[in-house]
Amino acid sequence: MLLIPCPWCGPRDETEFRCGGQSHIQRPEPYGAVGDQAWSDYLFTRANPKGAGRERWVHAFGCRQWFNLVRDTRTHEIAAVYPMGAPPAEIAAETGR
Amino acid sequence: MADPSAVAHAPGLSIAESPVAVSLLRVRSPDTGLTTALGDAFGLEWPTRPNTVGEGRVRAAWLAPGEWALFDAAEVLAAPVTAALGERLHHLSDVSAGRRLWRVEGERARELLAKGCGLDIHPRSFPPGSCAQTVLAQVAILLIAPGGDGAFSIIADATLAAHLRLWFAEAVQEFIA
Repeated sequence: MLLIPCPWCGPRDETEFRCGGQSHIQRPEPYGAVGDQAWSDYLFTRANPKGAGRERWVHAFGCRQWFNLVRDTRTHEIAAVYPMGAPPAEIAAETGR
Repeated sequence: MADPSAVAHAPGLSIAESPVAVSLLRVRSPDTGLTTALGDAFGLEWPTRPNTVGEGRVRAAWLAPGEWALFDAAEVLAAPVTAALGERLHHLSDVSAGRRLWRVEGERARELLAKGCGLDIHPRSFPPGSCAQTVLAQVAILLIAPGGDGAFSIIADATLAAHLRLWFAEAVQEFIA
């Protein structure tokens, strides 16, 4: 079980949280000029990092606040927690493919 | 069921269930002026730190940024809240009919709750004046640390009361034997 540091409530069990998937997905604009490819990327294409990734989580059974965190998909290590609306957190060594 | 009804008893443990008078207050981006006004209205230090409880003429528990649970009858709360918040947009809703209260007290209360709740509720990390929204027996609850009354307060949805009642009845068994 992960111990997730909620920015409001402190460390809590993973079961109190829900994951909202990848953070910082921008809706393409302007509406009329978005092509099919850009739109389908926006809807369906997600990063699948082996290593640190930025995710949205909500403390569903606690304060019900959303926040971002950086989690390593191999080790589950949580490197950073930061509020919604903040710029994407730096990731030390991006290990994409 | 107007009176607290005993759910279970064991040596060093008593669990009682009752209705609860509680309203939720929501305010967008509360500032210190606003929380001070609320504190003055109810004669308490308003809980602005996450997961803390203020006790005065009412008990107020922090639930989320700009959201508190106020424990008193809705008729009693409405006037002071309106007076304190004035023109500020706010939302006060009486949810008493949808909640039930359990009071768990006794020297083994912590042991009992630990059977269904992963939160560390030792006074070292959950001192008097703390509250937490967490999970007990797979049910979302508001847990309030024992204060002067020496009892943990647990507030949960009334629709899940039967489940919690059964869980308490079963969980208490090992303390009876």
